[in-house]
Amino acid sequence: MDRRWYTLPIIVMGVLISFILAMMFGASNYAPGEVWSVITRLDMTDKTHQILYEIRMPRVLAALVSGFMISIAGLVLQSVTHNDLSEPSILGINAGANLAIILAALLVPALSFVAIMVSGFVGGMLVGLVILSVTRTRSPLHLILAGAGISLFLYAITDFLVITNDLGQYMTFFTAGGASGQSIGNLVIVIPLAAVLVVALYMMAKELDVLLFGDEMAVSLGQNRGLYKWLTLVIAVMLSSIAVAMVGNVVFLGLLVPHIVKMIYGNMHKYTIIYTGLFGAIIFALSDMFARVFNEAPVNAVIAMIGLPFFIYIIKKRGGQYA
Amino acid sequence: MRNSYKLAAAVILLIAVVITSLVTGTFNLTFQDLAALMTGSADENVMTVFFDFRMPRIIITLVCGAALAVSGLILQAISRNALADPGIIGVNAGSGFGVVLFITFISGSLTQHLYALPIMSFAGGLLTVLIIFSLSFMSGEFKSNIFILIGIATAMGVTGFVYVFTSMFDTEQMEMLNRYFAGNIWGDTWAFVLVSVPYILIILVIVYSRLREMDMLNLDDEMLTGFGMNVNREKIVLIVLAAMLSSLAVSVCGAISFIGLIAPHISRMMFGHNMKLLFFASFVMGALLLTTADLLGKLLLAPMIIPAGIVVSLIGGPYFVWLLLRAGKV
Repeated sequence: MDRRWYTLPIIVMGVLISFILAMMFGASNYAPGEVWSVITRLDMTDKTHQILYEIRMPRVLAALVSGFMISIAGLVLQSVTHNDLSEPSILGINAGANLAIILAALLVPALSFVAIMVSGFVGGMLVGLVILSVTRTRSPLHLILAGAGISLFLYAITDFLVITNDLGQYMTFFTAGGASGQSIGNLVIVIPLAAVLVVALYMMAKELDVLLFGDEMAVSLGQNRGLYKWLTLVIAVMLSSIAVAMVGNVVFLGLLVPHIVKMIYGNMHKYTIIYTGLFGAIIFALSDMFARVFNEAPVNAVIAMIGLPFFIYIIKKRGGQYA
Repeated sequence: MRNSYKLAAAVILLIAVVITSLVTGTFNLTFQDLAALMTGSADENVMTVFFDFRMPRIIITLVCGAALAVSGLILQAISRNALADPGIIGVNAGSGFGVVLFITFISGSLTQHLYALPIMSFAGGLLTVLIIFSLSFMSGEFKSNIFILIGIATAMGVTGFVYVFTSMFDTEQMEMLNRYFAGNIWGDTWAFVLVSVPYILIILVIVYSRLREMDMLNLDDEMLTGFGMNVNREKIVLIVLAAMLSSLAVSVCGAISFIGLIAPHISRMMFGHNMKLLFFASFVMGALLLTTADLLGKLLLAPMIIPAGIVVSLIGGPYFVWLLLRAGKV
């Protein structure tokens, strides 16, 4: 057993603690005892239990699982594109998912959650195709510019649809990001799906390590790099579009978390996948909690407050690579 | 010689678009009306529509389009990257933040605080760029790639902050913000022309006087230092000019992206790399693009008006993707 696994129990505890904290604080606060009693002996006749179970808990769980998914997606995208700054929202994958969801919502008015996820995936994947074809030939800076430009374009189309069809409120939800309004029903679909996807990724941890070494190394190690590049990219896009369907376009999280994890645990994916997911869950759940405490501020503002300085720090530290 | 033909053709096209814009809209003007306007015998309605609505709007559109294009040209010259655009590096997000502050804290009717809105929007855009700029130095040297990267990130982050206040907005305020981000040319009265156009023109003249330096920035920094140029200072001056141009423009015409990218690019394809020619060509192309977008937005789904910024992005986006995918040098 490697030393790097020793911290795992602590981080898992951290997830549990952030779950309980996030359950406690918000528009109204509850004592830890009340939260505990909801978990141990749920009593739906009790008003407090009802609120905690039906409103607060789905939201906290949605935040945890989205943080988990978004961060892992960021990690995989960084490895696949060989770019430290890759992340679903920077690369435009979220914008693609967002547009596809709005389009689908226009065509089919009462869209089921599964349909939202599927359309999000289709949109995100189309952007992923463009992005991957750009990485083959271009510099790291070029990739990020590509993502920014594609995002701008896709958001313009989305804006167009929103303005011509009066979907303002719907749109704000996606751009501002937030875990509110989740139902247990959605979570029952998302949690197993996320688990399956991450297990699949985990089985490819070695292949991701090889991808990270670079194309030449991959060839000399005999890897079928096309196949694994695509497989892992598809899974990363799936993870991020499911997250978009649930919590909208969350910025910086997928960049921030993998970097912190890589600083502590190194680059081997068999560690980073797990730790990135757990750290992401903690950070997103706590950010969502702070957002709730501060008068329902958008969670993106909270994350950007940590994420933006961090991004600038990374750029400055690895400056030589980009300058 | 051929270049001047091409430039003339672009100008003629621009004039055609301008005239079409002037006569079309919810109130169509006929050629008799135009003739009457020339001789000063038009009736009052026609005069009002023409002088109070159409004229200021077309002036704002022309000048802002040109300003955005030249701003993009400058950014591309100093970053040596053909994909730089003021919208992509955070100017729009910054001035959007100014707009949100305005809606949140001043709000009320626009006419009461006529100048507050463009000023706050301008300050937001300029401040953002200057902060990004001050972060882009590494060991005392300005790094343009770092500038672009931090700009992109800041645009993302600031967009998050913009929504901090929106939870308190009512539908009307939300509508106003969405319209801003969609690039709706709102400053279409003479008052706005007066607060923005003269300054834009002055800055454009200053930029013109710096064209030779811009042209030389294509060379290596070390080589330029060898020629006796203070490279850092040149870049700083140019960045500040570009930031002022684009923030002024978006402060009256809303968040418009891609013009700063496309106009210089088309100009480069048509006219090569002579900076003086590029300056005029970008100027004309920028004006042409924005007026055309505004005209299309007015006509396509009439009586509904599509904001010009969206039309520009709908044209500019595919162009941008095409640029990216093209194998050759960009």
